[in-house]
Amino acid sequence: MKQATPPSLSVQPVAVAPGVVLHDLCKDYGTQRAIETLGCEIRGGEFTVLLGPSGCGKSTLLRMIAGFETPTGGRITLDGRDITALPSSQRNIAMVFQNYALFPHLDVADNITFGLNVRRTPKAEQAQRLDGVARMMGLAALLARKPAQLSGGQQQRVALARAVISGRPVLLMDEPLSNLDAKLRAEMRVEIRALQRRLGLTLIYVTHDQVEAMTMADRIILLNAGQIEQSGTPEEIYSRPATPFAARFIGSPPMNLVDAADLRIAAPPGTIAGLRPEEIEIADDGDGLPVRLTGHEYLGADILVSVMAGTAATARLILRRPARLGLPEGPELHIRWAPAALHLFDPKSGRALTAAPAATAPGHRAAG
Amino acid sequence: MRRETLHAWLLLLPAAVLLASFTHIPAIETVVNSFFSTARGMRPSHFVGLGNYRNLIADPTFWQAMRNNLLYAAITIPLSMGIALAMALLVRGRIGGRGFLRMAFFTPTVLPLIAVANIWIFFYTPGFGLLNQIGALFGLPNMNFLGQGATALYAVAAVSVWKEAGFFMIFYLAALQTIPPSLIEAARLEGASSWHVFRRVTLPLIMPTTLFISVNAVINAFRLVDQVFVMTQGGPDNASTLLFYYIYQVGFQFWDTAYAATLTVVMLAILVAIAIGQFFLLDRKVHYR
Ligand SMILES: Nc1ncnc2c1ncn2[C@@H]1O[C@H](COP(=O)(O)OP(=O)(O)OP(=O)(O)O)[C@@H](O)[C@H]1O
Ligand SMILES: [Mg+2]
Repeated sequence: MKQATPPSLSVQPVAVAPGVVLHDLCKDYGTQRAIETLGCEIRGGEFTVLLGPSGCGKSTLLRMIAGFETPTGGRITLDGRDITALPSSQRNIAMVFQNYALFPHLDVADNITFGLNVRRTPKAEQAQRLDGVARMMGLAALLARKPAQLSGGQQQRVALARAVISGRPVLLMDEPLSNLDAKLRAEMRVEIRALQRRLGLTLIYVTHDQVEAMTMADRIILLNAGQIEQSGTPEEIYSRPATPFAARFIGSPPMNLVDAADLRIAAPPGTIAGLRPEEIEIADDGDGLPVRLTGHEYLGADILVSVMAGTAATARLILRRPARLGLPEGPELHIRWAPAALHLFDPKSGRALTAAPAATAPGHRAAG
Repeated sequence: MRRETLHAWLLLLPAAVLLASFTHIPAIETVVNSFFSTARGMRPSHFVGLGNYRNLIADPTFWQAMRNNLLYAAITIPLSMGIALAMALLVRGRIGGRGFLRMAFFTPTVLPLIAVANIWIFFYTPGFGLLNQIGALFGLPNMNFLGQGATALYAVAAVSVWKEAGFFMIFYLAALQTIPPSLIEAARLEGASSWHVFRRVTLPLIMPTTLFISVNAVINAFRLVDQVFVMTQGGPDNASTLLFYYIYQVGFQFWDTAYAATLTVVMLAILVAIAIGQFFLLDRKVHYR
């Protein structure tokens, strides 16, 4: 199960994996627009996650890259070459499907070598590559089985092996872990990440699970309603969300978003203020923003404390603190946060206001 | 527990009575009758052992019907199944007028057989029939398709293919729709041609349906009677007599019920043997799950 063994020689790392660029791509289904005109660059050799809620167009985007859907407008280039009109088989792209798409009538070995067979790879070479991939993926003992005789995790691995054996430098995955249980999912995350690194693949990975995105991605492209909400490294998106949507989508529990006025922050009316739960601390010295304790949730290592702030006590904030510190004595509390932790979003554009202003509001005190 | 058993039996009873009185008991009686002579006038039925079977082996009309039936089966089964699959593949895709095509292909199946047979009799009519009129355009001589020994069986077989293909298409269509599109996409991504996808993915996955259809096709091939009845009455000179039509003739025109029972037993034996053979032969290819 653990695949820490060094790479087998028959699956060579890709020398320089090509990047994919989307130029003003859009997609309509009838009158409904699934992908708004968008452009982005997916860098070669990187692990890029397309992240977003259900129905935001992740699969549609991926399927356009794979060549299963024709874009309504725009172009896709791979390594500088326009592939928009190419059939999927000529795009030099491999894919792992959400339901694995294993051929139920073929055994594991035939499933993995299906593509090599199609392309008339010599039998000896097929056997050699199969052997390498099977050992790398821990499938050597299962080669004679039919997919129905495998567990979900094993099927997943076969699907991965089938994609990897092709030696194609770009690998697409559409929610590959969604059918697995939590433990297996955590294992596969590590495994897929390691595989991508080892082979130097350009991996485009679709998921709606922000944990998967945060733990695996070199770069996240956050989609919302067919548009790119923000793209960047996991750290960038987490620490500098560009929009309230990005702020709430990443992080668990999500960032607190309240009216800036409720935090007594001087800002144009309607400005949204955001604070990560772990960035808020309780001011034991009674200095800071007065709030009222309303509840808590125990998570083991941490405890989530709910408080209400604002003049009418309507702004709900959740703050996270180590459980060993215990529940603060309420119900009247004071909270504070570091100035850099505050995110402000423009009331009109909804975009983040660059660099939180060093306003002087009661909650603002240099931490510590 | 006992009460439940009683209820179960009571609920089963109506179906069991019907099944027994119209299927099982007559089947057993048929076998029994085949060992007796037919009662005629003053002479009651008496046990003749294998006498009827000896007559059957010596009966040239039986062998003729048998030959005809095998030929008929060899023509209609592969043709109707092949056409059914082709039509299903055609109307599965997103082509214009798909709904109309599906309906058109299925129509022969919903038409009453007597009507179908009469339509085709018109097609085949010598002189002014559709086929001869078309033939005449190309300068072909006048043909009496149903009246000639050389063509009668083929003419009947053509109608069967036309009728059965639409019916089998429905099964193939249903089977094709159970194949996840991602399987086809996965194969395509690997560079498989349409033919390769069909040969290596689609065909194996619809094997269970193929088996089911082939069993049905065989049974239908040996069960055909009404069409022969309407179109040729087995003629000319038994050229289009099929087994079941011969049984009908012996039983209800010649009133030799014992001999008809004998023929029936033989036909049943053939059908059972073929069905078992199909299951064993195709079993390995079918059960991929
Ligand atoms: N074949 C189709 N015909 C019409 N609309 C479609 C089709 N496929 C997708 N859509 C629409 O396009 C939008 C994007 O769908 P898509 O499958 O890309 O979402 P997704 O982000 O992958 O969602 P999920 O996480 O649920 O898989 C949705 O609103 C969906 O209803
Ligand atoms: Mg999807």
